[in-house]
Amino acid sequence: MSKPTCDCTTAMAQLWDYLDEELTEERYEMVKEHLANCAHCLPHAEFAQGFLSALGRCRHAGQMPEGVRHAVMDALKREGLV
Amino acid sequence: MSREEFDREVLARMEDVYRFAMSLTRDASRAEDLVQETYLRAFRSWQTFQPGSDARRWLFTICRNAFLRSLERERGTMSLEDLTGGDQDALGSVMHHARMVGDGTADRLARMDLAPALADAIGQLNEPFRSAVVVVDVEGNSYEEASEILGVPIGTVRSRLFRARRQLQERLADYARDAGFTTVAREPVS
Ligand SMILES: [Zn+2]
Repeated sequence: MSKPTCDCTTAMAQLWDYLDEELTEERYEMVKEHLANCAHCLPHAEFAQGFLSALGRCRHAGQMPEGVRHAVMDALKREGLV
Repeated sequence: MSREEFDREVLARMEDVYRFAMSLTRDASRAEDLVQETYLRAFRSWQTFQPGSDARRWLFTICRNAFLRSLERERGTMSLEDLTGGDQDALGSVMHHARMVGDGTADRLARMDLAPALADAIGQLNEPFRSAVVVVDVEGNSYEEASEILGVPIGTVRSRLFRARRQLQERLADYARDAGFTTVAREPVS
């Protein structure tokens, strides 16, 4: 029995789902297999991966200023909620 | 769940909510207002919180709704409903970056730290695209979690997300051009 395989268009249409790990295992393996063997698609996948990891680094890194917690607690007290 | 347990669980998440609010607003003073609004709403409706469910996700939902309402107040009564859905979104987005790969822009971008440019670009996205990218790509939620936080079906999350990524990549292409990586006069890719 041969492995399920796919063409470039199919692989690229599922690239985001693949990188987001939102595919079923079978489809995930199919795209992975395609990327491993396709010199055309691999650079796209690598670029997309770098793009997503840069997005992940956009998380706000600074600490919450202490004043925020005080302001929230004050507002909750003012409204009689705590 | 007792009220004390609720208070403890929800107040312990304030740093997360603040970070999320910062990602949505990109502005410390607006983020602070948003955190305050989120907690006022959360405490007013504390009975709707299901014990055992994810407090962070519940707070993010409230925060994101409060954010949308603040935008509506600012912009009048524009509709923030989906523009369209569609299955072409995934491929369209990938095809766009295919061009950048093809002309070498992607290679050059790959050698730079894109995070600062992307952080700016996120701030320029309109809703509902900004929330989609913040919830999934910045905060790292799954499509299913995002569907809960954004209150839309998973298919809508995907479609918004892929369109948001496409818009961000368009801005990256502009950024590459501004940084002198012209994609108009193509040089041979070495
Ligand atoms: Zn291929």
